[in-house]
Amino acid sequence: MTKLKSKSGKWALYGDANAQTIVSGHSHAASILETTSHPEMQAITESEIAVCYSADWAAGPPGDKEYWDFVGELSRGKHIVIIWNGNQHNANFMFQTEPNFTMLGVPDSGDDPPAIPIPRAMIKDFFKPSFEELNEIIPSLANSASITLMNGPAPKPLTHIKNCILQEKYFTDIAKSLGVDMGELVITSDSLRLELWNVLAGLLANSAKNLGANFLSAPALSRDAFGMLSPEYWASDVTHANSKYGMLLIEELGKLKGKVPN
Amino acid sequence: MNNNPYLAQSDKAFWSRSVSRNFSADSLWSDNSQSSLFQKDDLIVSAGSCFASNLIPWIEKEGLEYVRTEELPSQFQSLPENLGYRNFSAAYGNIYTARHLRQLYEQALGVRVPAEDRWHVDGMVIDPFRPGLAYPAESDAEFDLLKASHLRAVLAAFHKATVFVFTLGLTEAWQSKVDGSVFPACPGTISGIFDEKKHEFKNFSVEEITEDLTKFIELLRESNPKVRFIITVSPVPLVATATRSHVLLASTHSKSVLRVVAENVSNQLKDVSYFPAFEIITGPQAPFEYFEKDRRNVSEIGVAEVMGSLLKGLTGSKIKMLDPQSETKQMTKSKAGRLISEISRRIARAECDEAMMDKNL
Repeated sequence: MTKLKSKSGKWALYGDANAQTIVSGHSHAASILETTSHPEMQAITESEIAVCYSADWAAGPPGDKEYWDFVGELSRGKHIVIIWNGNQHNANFMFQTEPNFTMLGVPDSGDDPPAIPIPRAMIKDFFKPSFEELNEIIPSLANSASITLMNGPAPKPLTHIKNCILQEKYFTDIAKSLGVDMGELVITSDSLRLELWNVLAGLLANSAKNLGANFLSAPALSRDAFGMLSPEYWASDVTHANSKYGMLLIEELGKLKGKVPN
Repeated sequence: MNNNPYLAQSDKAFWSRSVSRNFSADSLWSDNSQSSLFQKDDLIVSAGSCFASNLIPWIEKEGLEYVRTEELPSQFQSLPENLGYRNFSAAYGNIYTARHLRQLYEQALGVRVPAEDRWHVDGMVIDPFRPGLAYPAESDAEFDLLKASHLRAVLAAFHKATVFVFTLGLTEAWQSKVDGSVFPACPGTISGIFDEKKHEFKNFSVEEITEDLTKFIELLRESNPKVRFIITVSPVPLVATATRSHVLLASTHSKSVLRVVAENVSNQLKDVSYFPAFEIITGPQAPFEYFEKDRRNVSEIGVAEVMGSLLKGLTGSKIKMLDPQSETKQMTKSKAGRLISEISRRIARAECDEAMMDKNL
């Protein structure tokens, strides 16, 4: 697999520089990279899809100015896909807050005392800053053939999260360093995390609309009857999806191509 | 000298001995039987005009518990809120009239449903009784959910209180012509649309306010029989009047009416005390500096003087100006919430790094 690199060498393009579609964005883009990197998939996808990602995977997720400048340099005439954040609900609300909260759309849990409902407008305002950078990035990709924004995968059920966190020393050490016993923390209910994820999807769709981009949500096939990410698409960690999910995204992108004039 | 009733009076009965000289704010209300208005284990709820929210940091600094039943998780606490709704025990914001207080409690009890209970403005659903909320509902269903939760929080706070501090703020109000529901602000000012067929001005009388306050106290004591009341009159003059009068005259009338009500109710009902914040700030003995330059807002020095007297008996020494660095129970609680949030953040961040370190890549 060829690797074209950014000026400092920090960011790389995995795949053919002439590929029609360039996938970029934050850590959830890794599921597509994993798919396109698979030896059996390379021959099929390499000429069509390249992924712009970290050159050194241990150095941190994509997202600084140099990264987006690099994507901009590669974007002329290409279909650009941006997998934008997708972890804001986990980063802020993985564990049940004090006091416990809920929102319209989340079934009543029957808790006593009942969770405090937070206005959806307040939750949107809370997440709003995580989309503001798009206002600079999208115009910088004006020479592309099209721009498509994608969100992260639906959340995983709390049983899976609990197992992941409690078995991972790294996570229990984080809690310990803050003086908190991980075993005492309550993971936020599936229904609330799912509704927060829905709010994020709506905000990204809205950003896409306002900025003249397309929006592609998590594939319906990837979700179970409750709306959570189906186990077959789980990566082994708390939040990410696997290469099979990446394959689903590639299929969805294929369907979208041709319908997406910039 | 002939014997007369004044000879038996103590110094505090004489202006020359208790105001011209030797003025002490504490002497306005305390006597041998009442050295402090609060006990250390009191659960305090406050409502009223903005002066009622001023006391919160002071009582928390003294280690007293201010009841809060409608707090936001720490993640949301930095988001902006208008008009200080969440300053109070539940997020009811300023309650300027006794009628509004009574109606709020009746709504929380479920015995009153206002005819005009919501306004639809620019795609949002506005609460006419909290028209300035920064984040109104987006739908009727959400409005119902948020309102029901708010009223539950009001009920929980009022029923938990061992001391209820109420600051009488205004006699002037705007009400519904349909059912007399009192709005905290004239429809069309903060939100909504003023409609003279539906809305009217009301300047409450001594009798009406006395009845409203008395009914509220009696009603609350049906569920919370031991609650004590501290009634104050806000020293802050009217910002504007809807009468034909000059605002200074209207303000004097309003405060006079409220002061009479406070006297009546505290004399007539058991365990209802009047605390003279009004006199401490506006009396002729008060230094010029107790008001800001606009001669309306009470200065920090003025607030400190009032709070020092209000909390007398608890502090053991003269109260100092509020130290923003001092940590209250409330701040400790917020810190715990932020800690939970921080763990979520760190784990999510670690996961993003992990995604890139996946051995399969």
